[in-house]
Amino acid sequence: MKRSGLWVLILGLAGVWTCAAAHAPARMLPRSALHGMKVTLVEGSAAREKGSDDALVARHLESMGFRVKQVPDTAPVSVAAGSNLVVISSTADVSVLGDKYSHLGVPVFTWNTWDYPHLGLTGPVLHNDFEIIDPVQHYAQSFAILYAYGANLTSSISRAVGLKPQLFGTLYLEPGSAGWGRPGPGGTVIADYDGTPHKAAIFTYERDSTLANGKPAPARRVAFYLRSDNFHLLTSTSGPPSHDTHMRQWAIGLKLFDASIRWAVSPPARPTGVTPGSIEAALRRQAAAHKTIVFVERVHGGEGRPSDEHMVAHLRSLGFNVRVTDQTEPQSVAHGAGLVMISSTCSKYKLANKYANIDVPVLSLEGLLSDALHFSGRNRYIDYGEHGEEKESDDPPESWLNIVGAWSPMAAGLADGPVRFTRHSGVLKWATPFPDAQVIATMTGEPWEAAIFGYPKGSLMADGFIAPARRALLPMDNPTYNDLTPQGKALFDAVVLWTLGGSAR
Amino acid sequence: MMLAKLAPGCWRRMSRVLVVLAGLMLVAPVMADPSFPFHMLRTLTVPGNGPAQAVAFLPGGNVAFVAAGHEVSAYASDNPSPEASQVVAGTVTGLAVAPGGRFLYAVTRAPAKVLVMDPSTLKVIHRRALHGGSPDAVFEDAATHALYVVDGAAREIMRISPSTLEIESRVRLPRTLGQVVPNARGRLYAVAPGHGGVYAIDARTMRRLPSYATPHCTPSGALALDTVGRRLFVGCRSGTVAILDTDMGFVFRRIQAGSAPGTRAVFAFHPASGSGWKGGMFMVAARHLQAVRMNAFVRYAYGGMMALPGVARSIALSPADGQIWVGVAASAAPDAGPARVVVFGSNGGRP
Repeated sequence: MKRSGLWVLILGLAGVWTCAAAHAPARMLPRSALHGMKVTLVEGSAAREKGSDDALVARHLESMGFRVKQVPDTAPVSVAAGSNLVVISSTADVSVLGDKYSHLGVPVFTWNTWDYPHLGLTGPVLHNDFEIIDPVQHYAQSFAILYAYGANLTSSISRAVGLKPQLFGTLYLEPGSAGWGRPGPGGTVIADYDGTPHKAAIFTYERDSTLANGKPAPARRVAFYLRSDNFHLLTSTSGPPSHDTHMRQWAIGLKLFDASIRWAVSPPARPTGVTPGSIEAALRRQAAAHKTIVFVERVHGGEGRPSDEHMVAHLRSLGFNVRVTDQTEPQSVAHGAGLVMISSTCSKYKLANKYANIDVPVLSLEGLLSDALHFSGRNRYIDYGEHGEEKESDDPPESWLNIVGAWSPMAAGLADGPVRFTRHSGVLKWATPFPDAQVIATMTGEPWEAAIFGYPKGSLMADGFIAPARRALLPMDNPTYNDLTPQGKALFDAVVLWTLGGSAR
Repeated sequence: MMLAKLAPGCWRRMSRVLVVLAGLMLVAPVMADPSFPFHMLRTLTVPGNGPAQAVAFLPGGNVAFVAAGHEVSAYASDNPSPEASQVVAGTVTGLAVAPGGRFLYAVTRAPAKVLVMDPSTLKVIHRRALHGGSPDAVFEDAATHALYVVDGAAREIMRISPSTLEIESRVRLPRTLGQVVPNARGRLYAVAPGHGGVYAIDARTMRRLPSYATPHCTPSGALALDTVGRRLFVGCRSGTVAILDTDMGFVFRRIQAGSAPGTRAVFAFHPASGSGWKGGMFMVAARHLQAVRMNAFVRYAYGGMMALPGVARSIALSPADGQIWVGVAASAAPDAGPARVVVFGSNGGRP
């Protein structure tokens, strides 16, 4: 092979790899890579009492290849120095633990439900932000927690165990104890009780995502539903039942534990290092790949026309072939396109459910379409809505958003916390997405009203709908584009790029 | 020097104390753990030229069969003398009663044979040579209506027609086998002492199915199944008993049942004649009989232990009559003295 041909082959393979990496979730370490990693297992005096499974957990972690150091809850946080992971058992006394592990720049995996608020994983209110079910206080509930739902299909943990949007067995069949928590919008719910994401059985925070206390996660965090004495009851299967697909998908408690541990010690999503310049360059690469954008608007519309024109002009300036189409055109006009962008000038009524099931990435600039597009539940102003629309919103006009997903390339490299999205206060849209969505920004002071989020392909969306391609929301009203701040423009470009499937890294 | 100074009367008193202490030591092995639902009724010396290697009950529980050396004897459960005896060619290593109680099955070594006997007269009705090997257990499975003969040393289980006694098929397993039990729904389970997991075999095709995992438990050889065929009790070398839900393929409970690894185990619902325990697994381990108590289908507890006056060789339980019979020998040696059976009776519902 000629040298030039070899280079073409190498570059081609590199391109394929880059493209694949852009679509894949953050890579998880293989089990073989865990060998020799150090785990600090924090336990309380109850660990030595009859019935605690801490010793069993330590043995199990050792069987995974970890070197485990069991330390008392009274030990200073410095005992975790050099550890790859800190595991906090529920035998540890929360009044002794306090918040000493909350600032640790080492991944933390915990089933100490009482400690969730101290770690910033949930709010502080018992029964509302977190709860512990046990057979003494909640006999009926202690059976209900034997079942949980797969809430997230696209996280690395979900993919590792093949999690499905259905029930699975959490613990073996006897009245059990378990904890749940309600993570902040920067958290990712993997599995929940009662099909309610507010009762998350397993949830995680990526490094740099915003915790429930508003602070960025210093490293990965995992909350798991276990209690002190039931690690040995985490479901698994062997023997003839393990050849039954349904049983394999049912008895996944131990697999989820192992995958969550593995995710916690895996390298976090790379620091974005994303700049407006790198985003623009990446968009130009997408355009150079001949991706067409279908821009759906109310052609010759009124209020939003200049804004739509400017968006289209911007995308064309990056090299995209942009086909502008009217809201009344059939969905088939977008087949084969690289992206469908739905302008907020469109009428929800006349759009008539179009683009909900199209096998093309869709970026909606209109939050009020969220129910039709399966982005959220169906209750207007409860599951989706807007701020600042006269007579249609209790909330005043808004110009700020709160970044909660700084780890994601969709956050355009912006740090967590408030960011000015538009120069002037105006109408901004929102929706409350399902757990599979990656939430990037919320309305200020409204953590459950997500302004920017994206569903990866294959996500579980509302109504049990599985995303046939990427889906995203940007909270634009008709004239908003023209009023975007530089940060707002960066977010716009970053979300367009992510929805197209590109990477600015 | 000190001994020399003691008065002669003192020597007599000391010797009496020593005699009493020795007597207590003899009694101690059969003293009951207070939680144990059985107490020792009597010890039988069984006819035969070897240890009591196999014990079995008629379904009604009122007749027990004991095999010792070349001899099989029948006992009424309330009579310490045998009602009938039969000498056969070969050493009897396994006994089983057909589900309806119509036949008594036996397997022998040297020569290796399977025998069908009349349970009332102990006459051999039918016999078939197994052409070598050392069979050590036999049972009839209610689901397949077939006889199964286990040759643990040869790692083999044979399925045999109960009508013709012809070997229909066989399965060879990777390791020397301990106990093998049927689940009455077309599956056999077996353990290999010293090796993890429980083998599963399709009793119809005699093909191996995926093995059950028994984490943290290396089987010791004892294996029992509840009589609805869903929960396996696996004796572990550590002295624990792992309880495995066969529907799930999951060990959901580990009970510390004693320090010695179990060798043979049996399970019965309402083992103490319909009162007391919901169910119990009874396992012999060297010189002890130990129990796991079933409180509910998913709840179990240690059920107590009793010392045995010898090394256990066999066990059978009759819930109908509230009796456990344990064959014991002076040692673990193959020719360990006269055959004895310890008979335990129910405490009458006292848990």
